[in-house]
Amino acid sequence: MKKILICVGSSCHLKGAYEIVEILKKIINEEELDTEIELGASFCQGKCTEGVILKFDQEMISNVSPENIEELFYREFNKGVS
Amino acid sequence: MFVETSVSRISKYNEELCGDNVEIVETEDSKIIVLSDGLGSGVKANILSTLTTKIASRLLEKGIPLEEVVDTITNTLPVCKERQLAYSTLSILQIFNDGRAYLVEIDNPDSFFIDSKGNISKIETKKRRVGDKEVREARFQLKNNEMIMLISDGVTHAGVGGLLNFGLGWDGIAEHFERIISKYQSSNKFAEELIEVCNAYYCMEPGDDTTTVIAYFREERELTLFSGPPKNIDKDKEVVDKLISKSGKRVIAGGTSAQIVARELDEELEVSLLYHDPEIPPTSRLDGVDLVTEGLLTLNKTVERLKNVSCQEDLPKQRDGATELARLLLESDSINMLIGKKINPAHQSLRLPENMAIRKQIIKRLVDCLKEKGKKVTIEWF
Ligand code: FES
Repeated sequence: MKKILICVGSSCHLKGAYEIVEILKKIINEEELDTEIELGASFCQGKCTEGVILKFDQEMISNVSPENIEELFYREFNKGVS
Repeated sequence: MFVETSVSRISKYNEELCGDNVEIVETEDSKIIVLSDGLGSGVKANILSTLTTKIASRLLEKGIPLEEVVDTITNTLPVCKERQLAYSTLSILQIFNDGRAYLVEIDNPDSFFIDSKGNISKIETKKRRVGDKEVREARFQLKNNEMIMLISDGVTHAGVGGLLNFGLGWDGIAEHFERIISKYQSSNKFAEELIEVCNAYYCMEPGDDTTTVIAYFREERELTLFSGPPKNIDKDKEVVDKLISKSGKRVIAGGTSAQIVARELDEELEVSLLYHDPEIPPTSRLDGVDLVTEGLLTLNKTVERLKNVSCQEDLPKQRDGATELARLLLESDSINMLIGKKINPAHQSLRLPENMAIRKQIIKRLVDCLKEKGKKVTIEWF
């Protein structure tokens, strides 16, 4: 089970954390990945200027946006597989 | 103990000024409510009742004993000789912090006593004559969660000229009021709803000025809000201690602040991903704290929510952080704020309008708004 934590602090929220959560939920739903991926929230990670901050398993990824999340998700998700 | 007071009223149809007047005075150990109904309506009635309540409340404020005030007013109030002369009615209710109560009524309808279960009864009064006026007096002891309601005769007459021949009367009002009490929690809402009922019986064209005042005797509700990390990290522990040692509700607004509390208490902070409103970041959970929200955005939204309502029942039925915070604040009587001064460098990069981004400004707007609603607010800066 992989774990994705999205920062829901003030700055990340303003930079689109809500949209990112919605997009991720949609992908997980469509691809029926809910047994493989767990979504969660985190507080400010202290990197607000590089937000939105996302943790994919233990790896911290910065500058996530509603525009690049889909591409980023597949890249990270397939990392462990191939 | 605490006395919550709420006033609601409507003026006679087509009259700009209300002939009923209410003054609420706070002394060191009591709250005094003065209600007066000037004869007739409009300007003359308004001046009369204003005079009466002002004189009474000023004298009471100066610490002159209630009995003396009643005597002075009854002796100086002009008497109505076939309506040639000016005249106004008077009710005074004084409730002490320990629940002792004193009620005086001159020509107003009987007041209502509401026990903690919502049962309504009349208050037993003794009659005495002062000059040519009959004064009804009562001394009694209030217990936790009991209420007294004072009204002007526009309330008991509701319906005259509208739906009913003789108006709702005391019993009719009591019946409606019992139903209202079972539906809501705040006296603000009780008063508002009762006046709505009266207005409806008058077919929206009240035949008289119609006023109700409620005094709700209960325990004081306190809330402590912690928002913003202290400027100096050494102060973290002190602030957390203050938050936790206070009785009443505890709220944290701010992710970093929440992390500080979790760290100091060695508790797990649970962050949720549940959005009740896309514009407001989710809330979190921390043992021993009633509500944990994000800071900046939630506080701004909370002020917006508060501006639009007068009591908690009027808030939207949502469970987002801002609405929840607004609800807790409205339910409280005294609010103690612990505000940190540390500047979050990240917020600077967001280029938000200044009054939204600076904590001091948001807190100021929040405090102004709460004070307007009659809340006691204290702030400690760290
Ligand atoms: S708010 Fe996301 S890193 Fe600060």
